[in-house]
Amino acid sequence: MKLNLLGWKCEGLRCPDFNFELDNNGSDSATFLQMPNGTGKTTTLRLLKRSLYKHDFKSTEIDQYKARNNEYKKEGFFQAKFSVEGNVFYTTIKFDFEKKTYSYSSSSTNQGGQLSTFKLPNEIENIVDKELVDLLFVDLELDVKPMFRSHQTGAQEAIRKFCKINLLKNIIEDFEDYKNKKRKENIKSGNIQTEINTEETRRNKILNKILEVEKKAEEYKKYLNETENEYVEGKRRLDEILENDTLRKNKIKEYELRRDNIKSKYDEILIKNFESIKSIGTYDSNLKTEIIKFVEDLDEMGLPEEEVRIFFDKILKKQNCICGELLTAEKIKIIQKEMNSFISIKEAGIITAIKAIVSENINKKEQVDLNLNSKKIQEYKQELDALNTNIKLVRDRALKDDIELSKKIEDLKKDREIKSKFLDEIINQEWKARHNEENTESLISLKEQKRIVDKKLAELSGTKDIEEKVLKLTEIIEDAMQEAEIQISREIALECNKKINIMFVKENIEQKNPIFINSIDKNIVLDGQSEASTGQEARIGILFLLTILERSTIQFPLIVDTPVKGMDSAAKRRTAKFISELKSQFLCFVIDEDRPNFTDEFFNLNKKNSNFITAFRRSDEFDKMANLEDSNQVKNLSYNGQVVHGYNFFSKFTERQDK
Amino acid sequence: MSIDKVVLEKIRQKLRESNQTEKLIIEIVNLLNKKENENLNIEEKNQIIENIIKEIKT
Repeated sequence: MKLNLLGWKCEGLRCPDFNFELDNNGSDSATFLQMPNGTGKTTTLRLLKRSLYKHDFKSTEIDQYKARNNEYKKEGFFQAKFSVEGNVFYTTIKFDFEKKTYSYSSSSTNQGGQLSTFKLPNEIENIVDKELVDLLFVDLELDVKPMFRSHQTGAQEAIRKFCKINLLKNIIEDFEDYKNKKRKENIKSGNIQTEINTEETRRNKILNKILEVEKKAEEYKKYLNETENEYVEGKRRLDEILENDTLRKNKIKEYELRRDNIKSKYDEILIKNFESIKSIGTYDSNLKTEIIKFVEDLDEMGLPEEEVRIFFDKILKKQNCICGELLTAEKIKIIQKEMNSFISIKEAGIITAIKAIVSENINKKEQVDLNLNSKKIQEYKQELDALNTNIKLVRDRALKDDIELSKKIEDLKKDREIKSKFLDEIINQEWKARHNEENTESLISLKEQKRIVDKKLAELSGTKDIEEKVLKLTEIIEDAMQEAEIQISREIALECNKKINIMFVKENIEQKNPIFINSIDKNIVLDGQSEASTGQEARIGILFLLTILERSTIQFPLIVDTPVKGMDSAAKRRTAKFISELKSQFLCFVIDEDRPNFTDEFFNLNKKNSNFITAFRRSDEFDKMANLEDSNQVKNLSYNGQVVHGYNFFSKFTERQDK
Repeated sequence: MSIDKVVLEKIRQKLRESNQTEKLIIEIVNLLNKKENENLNIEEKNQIIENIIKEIKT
């Protein structure tokens, strides 16, 4: 089954009134849509997305679609045209800009009539949703690049969304809601209810903290993604400057070598000192004396428990008590009770262990000199600090003309390190008994704290059975989710690599240095390298998305914004060849500077099955250009916009007069 | 049903491994199916969940 985008029409919106028909050359082909900046590409992409699922438009968003100044109209609409297995269907979104309202309507050839609501054809109704649509509309910068970054989760999220792994998460939430409902129905009285209320408050605090940490993690991921290019580029520029300053470069290298050497000695002595501190025998202070005295006192008291027990046993075996009276059954009971309370076996074990450790430490580790360690630590630390200062000084001198950039990159580095640490370590720390919702930001710990509170609440409210069953099912589902994700990721990586082999190697796109996928965890991990060029990442990212989409029984279109942004000429040519090999419907938005080496290359490779469309806001300059065009070319004209089909016009279109 | 076949296989496998009944497996797959294809109201959903909970062996 195939889902194709056939075109769209808009009137009264911020973008000019356009009417796009993509099926002039057959809908399976690639479509290149050239729209100059400011023609409403963002509006178009956003509304195309919203045409495939029911979106809740807020009044502020509706305002963004409103035409400006003298083009303003009270109402406007966007109508998208699709087909499923040849059956055409439309989705229309109407806006009332005065009332700031909107309404959906739908129609399809096989269902007949116009529905005044959002409705997709039956074949795709339960398959296409917002999460899937997000995968069909791709921005190279925003969606594809982050899939390769180590702290991003774009690739993992794409798999979760498309394979509906999230549906299982949704089921866990349903069971959680049911369990909470049952617990709240079981109202208790008096102290128990007070205790329940206290635990419920704690539970809410934990849940709020989880939401807070998750939000923070998302913000940090966004920050790392947004600053990635600036940081990498800036760092590369600084490295280049240093590389060209041979004298200072060598000096830095020399200092770095010495610093690394001292650092390793410093780490070594710190570890050694730490081990020594753990040994009581190394203390030459009051603490040592006190510990030794403590152990002596324990001995003096006749402890531990073994000795005490023997003493009592001997008394109990005698005919008469030590007071001289007859040892009756009643007296034996009293003595036994006293004996048991005198010292427990557990306490005796602890005391014996303390005595053994103290004795071992005092006897064996008396010789370690902590003062010597401390002296060495100070020396190494001073040397280390001095070398770091020297490195910084030489760097600052070398970068004196780029001091701002250097400062900026240094600040970025610090910020990025803090945020990466939060994402990689802090939120994944193990639960500890001393943790509460205020002193940790570990999601693992917070979830464990929630589990403990849930268990307590279930005991208090008498819903232990439901709690245990829901917990059991949750564990099974989470286990299944995790394993399914791993297996699907492996299958997708394998399939992508097959495609890379066929398309890149056999079709000679990147025969010399093809990059394969090593694994897909949170992000796409490349084989033998941490990152690839913009072009390579774009092509592998598109292949990855297409491979996910192929897991469905439906063949979906892929709509890509800025497919060659930031690529050099060779990368653009390879991407053109790559797109010409794709089997799915492919539509991309380009600007005039993308033509050399990209759309021109594609045209030469694939003359027949491709749509080259130019859309622009009307002006005297553009109208003249269009009028000069071959009259056979399809043109859709409105009072403020024009759409022209054909490669001839597409290849010439550019803005020459500066407004 | 558009949920990936690997996900369904894993659910079945994990439920069997923890000695749950075939009836439970069917009910859970059924719930997934209904959640995806029908607009279940809260009462209907809770009824299905209640049946599932009864069937879970801890």
